[in-house]
Amino acid sequence: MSPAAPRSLAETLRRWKAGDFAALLQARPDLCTPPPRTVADLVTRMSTGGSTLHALHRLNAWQHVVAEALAALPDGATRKDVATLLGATDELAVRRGIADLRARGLVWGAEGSLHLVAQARTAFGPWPGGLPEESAHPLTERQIGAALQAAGETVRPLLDQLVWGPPTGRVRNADRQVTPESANTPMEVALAYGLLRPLDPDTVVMPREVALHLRGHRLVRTLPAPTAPDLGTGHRRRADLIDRAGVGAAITVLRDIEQLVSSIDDLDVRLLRDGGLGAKDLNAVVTLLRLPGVHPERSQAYAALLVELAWAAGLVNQVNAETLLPTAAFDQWLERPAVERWSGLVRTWIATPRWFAWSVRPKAHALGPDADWRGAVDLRHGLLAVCAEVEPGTVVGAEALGRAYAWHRPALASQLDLAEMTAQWWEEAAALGLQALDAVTGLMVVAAADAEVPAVLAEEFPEPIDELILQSDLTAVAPGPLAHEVGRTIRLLAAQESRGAGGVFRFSAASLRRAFDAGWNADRVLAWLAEHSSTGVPQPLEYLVGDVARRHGRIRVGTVGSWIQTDDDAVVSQLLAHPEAGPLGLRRLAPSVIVADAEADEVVGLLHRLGLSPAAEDSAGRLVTAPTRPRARPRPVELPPGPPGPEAIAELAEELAGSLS
Amino acid sequence: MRGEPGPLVVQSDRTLLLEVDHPLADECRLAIAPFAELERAPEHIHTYRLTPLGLWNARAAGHDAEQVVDVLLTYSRYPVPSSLLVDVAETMDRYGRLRIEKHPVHGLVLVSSDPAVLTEVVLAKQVAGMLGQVIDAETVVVHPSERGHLKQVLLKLGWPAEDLAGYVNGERHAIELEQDDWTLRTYQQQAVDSFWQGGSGVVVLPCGAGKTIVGAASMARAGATTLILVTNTVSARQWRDELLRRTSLTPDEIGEYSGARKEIRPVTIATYQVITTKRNGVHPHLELFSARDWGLVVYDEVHLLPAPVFRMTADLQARRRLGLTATLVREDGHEGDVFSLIGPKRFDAPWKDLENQGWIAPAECIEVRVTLRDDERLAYAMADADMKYRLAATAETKQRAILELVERHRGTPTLVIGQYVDQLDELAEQLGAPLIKGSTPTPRREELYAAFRSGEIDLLVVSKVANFSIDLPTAEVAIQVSGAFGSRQEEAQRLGRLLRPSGDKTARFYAVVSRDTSDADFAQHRQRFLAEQGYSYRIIDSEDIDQLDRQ
Repeated sequence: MSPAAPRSLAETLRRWKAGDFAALLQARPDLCTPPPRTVADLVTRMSTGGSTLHALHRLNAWQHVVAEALAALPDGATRKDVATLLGATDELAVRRGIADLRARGLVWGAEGSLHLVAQARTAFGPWPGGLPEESAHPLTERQIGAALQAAGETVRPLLDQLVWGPPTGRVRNADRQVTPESANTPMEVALAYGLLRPLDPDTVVMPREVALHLRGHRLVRTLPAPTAPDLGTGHRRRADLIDRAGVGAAITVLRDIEQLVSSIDDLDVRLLRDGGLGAKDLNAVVTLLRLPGVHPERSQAYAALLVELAWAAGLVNQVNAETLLPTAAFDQWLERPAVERWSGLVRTWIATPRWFAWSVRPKAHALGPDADWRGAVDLRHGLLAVCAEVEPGTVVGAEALGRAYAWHRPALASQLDLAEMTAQWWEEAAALGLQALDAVTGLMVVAAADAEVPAVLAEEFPEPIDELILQSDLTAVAPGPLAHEVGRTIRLLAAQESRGAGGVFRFSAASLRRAFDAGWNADRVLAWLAEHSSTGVPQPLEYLVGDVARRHGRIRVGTVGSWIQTDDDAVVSQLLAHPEAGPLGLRRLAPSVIVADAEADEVVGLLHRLGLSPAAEDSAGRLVTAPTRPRARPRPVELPPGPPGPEAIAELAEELAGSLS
Repeated sequence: MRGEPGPLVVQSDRTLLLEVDHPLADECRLAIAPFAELERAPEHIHTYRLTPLGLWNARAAGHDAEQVVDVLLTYSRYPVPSSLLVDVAETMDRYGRLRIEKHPVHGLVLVSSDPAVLTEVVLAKQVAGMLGQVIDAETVVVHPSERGHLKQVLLKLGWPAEDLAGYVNGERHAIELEQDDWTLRTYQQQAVDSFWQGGSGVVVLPCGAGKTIVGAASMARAGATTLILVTNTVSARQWRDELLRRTSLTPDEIGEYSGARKEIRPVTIATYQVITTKRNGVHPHLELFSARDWGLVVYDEVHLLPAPVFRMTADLQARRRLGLTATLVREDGHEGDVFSLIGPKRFDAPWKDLENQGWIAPAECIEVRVTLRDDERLAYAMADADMKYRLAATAETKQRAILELVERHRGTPTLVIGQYVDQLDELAEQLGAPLIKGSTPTPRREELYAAFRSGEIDLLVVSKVANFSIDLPTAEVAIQVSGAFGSRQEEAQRLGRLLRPSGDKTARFYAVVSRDTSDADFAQHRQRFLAEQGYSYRIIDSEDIDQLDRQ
């Protein structure tokens, strides 16, 4: 037989099993840190105002209204009282709502005598549900009906103001003595008939029974649905196609991050005083990534997201407090498989306490302080959890998600523009591959569970290739994502023309000259091309390499003032005859040597303008090659700890249950 | 779900890379052709591009976004990012939200079932003066004179309108096809049907696939007086000959409206040149458009249509318009005007026909690099910028290489082509070959062409300005000595037409180029567009000419 009913929350919890504790900690993750050692410890923590408020914020609309009903009822109310006050016909739903509150440690006691914990009662304020406490001498229904009739229509506007709460209004001399005969104003009429009562000399209150009568005996105007609104639009897409589209986005975001971080020093961004990125620099990112210009605001939001993620993941760091460079962590990041990189990026996205879309609001900046928001992590988790409930392939859409989430977190919906934020989140989810064409992908489920990407999806992430297709129109086509090192080399030898799943690169005299400037020679270029080409080296390309090599370095420039040496008489004549020869102080020193008064860079400028291809030499006669790539110092990445995982919770719950025996 | 990785790589810049050696390449090509434009076709990877116009053309032809998305997902080797798919769907969805229709009371109206779009458009500055009274949330009056301009503006606003307002019948004139010794091919019939069903629009057929025949058959279908606009006089004569041969039209019924003659007949063929001629700031030949109640206007080589003709076409929107071309790509970027003023693409030849037409390696191209003598280099170095190209292109050193090449192919029909007349004069003299240049009178030209065609002479020097490519077939060797052959694919196709060797021989195209000069820079552009059109390309030094195989 069951023992006597528990007399407190603490006593209730002492009868709990491990599973009960697990459910509690799952629903109130703030209780996990630091881990409570004993049940007494746990009860103390639960009973703080902060933790209780947190728990109430995490209630869904139905749970919330049940809790509000309990708050509006005297302590020790029955389930039937709750159902009556709610006007709920679904008894099962009420029972479930109460059970949910019990599981959260917000309600305890038998169904015939329910107790809402004191802090929760406090949280609902002095007039829970907009109702005052029960009157000491309540009017009967009949009395109220008669009073309303006698008072007439003139008092209705006044009553309407108070009926849905708060039930009080400020009035001077509220406690004046009035009779129906002496009443002059609607206020006096209402007071005279007892439809309002003085609370103190300056306040009137609408008695609970009057308010309920006028409300039709309902606690709330519209009773929320007892179950979550349906997320799906009833429309489905083929899950395998949607998954592929999602992976497509995932690959794209990885590629864009790689491109952004690799080129960030070329962009020469200047951080603003608030640490953010100016609009001009953000537009430079849009241009760099050649984001389609159909929806400029969308492209900007995406570019800002990339910058934010690269920063949050520690792939870039600031140097001299004003510019950004890749970190060494970026180089390691590139070595990791795509699936792993994606998982890491999504984790960063979820756990960063910033609402990224706010960084592109007017006057805000990417990386700037405007987007800081602790609640972001929780909101992202919440949205993920809701989305992961539906089958991949289900078409959801931002609007439906926004509506559904407002039911799941009514407290949040009352504070924030949840519709707009859900839409922003949905866009970001698309960029990361969690949704595609408004349908939930398998990656959403992965992200929600913080699980490993299942093989069937992981296989869709392409393996990097190291072979190119060389064509006689002087292009190199990568029919897939290139291994990083191969990609870097081909970008040195040729200019990239097209980005995407693959790449198109074009060789030109200028691109090859750049490679020669960086210390390559014709043999090395040809050997590298032969090694990485699946189709051989086309004759015109081979010819071009030879031709550029032949011309490259035929002229060498050094700094003495500066000098030019060439065996080419025609060039000497051309230089000396040039109108700029005078200003630069060019003169022939020997048959093959010209010296200049000007600095080497000015002279090189002239030579370039003449279409010549000089090579620079240092004082020891060595060819000067391009410098190595600079790197910023690593930036330790600190993300606030996310909610504890199911395993940690189970362990803790076992411990608590164990502490009882 | 997937077996073999697909042949298509989808790029984020909206290009599609098709691997031509892939077993599914042909199938994939057929599937993407309705909505993607072929941009480059070098040996291994062909590049197609997705553009709003291409997608709208596909919509106009009855394809929907789901189909396009499905094709991309099916043939793509890698997962396609959803943002691109969304973009495709959104773009396609914009076509036809607005329609131009005939209203029983208000005449021409712009209609939309989406009041927001209509409002956006009505409020746009660019449509000022084109629209009249707003009838209701979904209908607004269009001034009939602005039908064409409105379509141009709507396209620019990103809301291309579907024109369902119909056409005037025009003056009746019976035209019959006379298929006695020939028959309309299936695809030609399909082209005519698609055009007629769509009302107005463009038929894309490669050179030699019978564009003129499609034109003639469309005229027969219309059974009305027809205005045909062509690029030049030679082309006008070809049209006339074809019409006489393929239809019931007699010489009296066909007029030529050109620099030389101004005949207006039931079927009138006019050149773009004469129409765009300006005198005292006005176009005196505009009368042509209103000279008769034309039932059909045919635009040949619509990708070359000059701007003034566009402007006139904007006023002809009530008449049926047929555009004929081998390519929708225009060098001036006016593809949108073709779409809004002539109409969407109504028919596209299947790839196999293009292939037979010679998109794939129709000729072997060899660039011969000549090293200039020191004195020539010095002269080049010292020359003014605007003289440099000419000096390089006409360098005397080139002559030896040219003579050597001609000698190598002696007995094979050979053309020597150049830009500078004095260089050509000199070459013609050295080679002992006749020369056709701008100043050569037409009878003399035709006489020489005929002699070349009949094999009576096998070597001809021609100047580029003589516009030889129209009707000079069957050369097996062409040697370009100066001047860029052209800039883009249209020129490459002319080259393909010019070089038509008999039997299984391969035609040769030589370009003789001065090393390390601007001549070589031009050559690089040529190399690019020829390789992009599928020609094989090699570069040799002039010293190595003797190592070339004879044909």
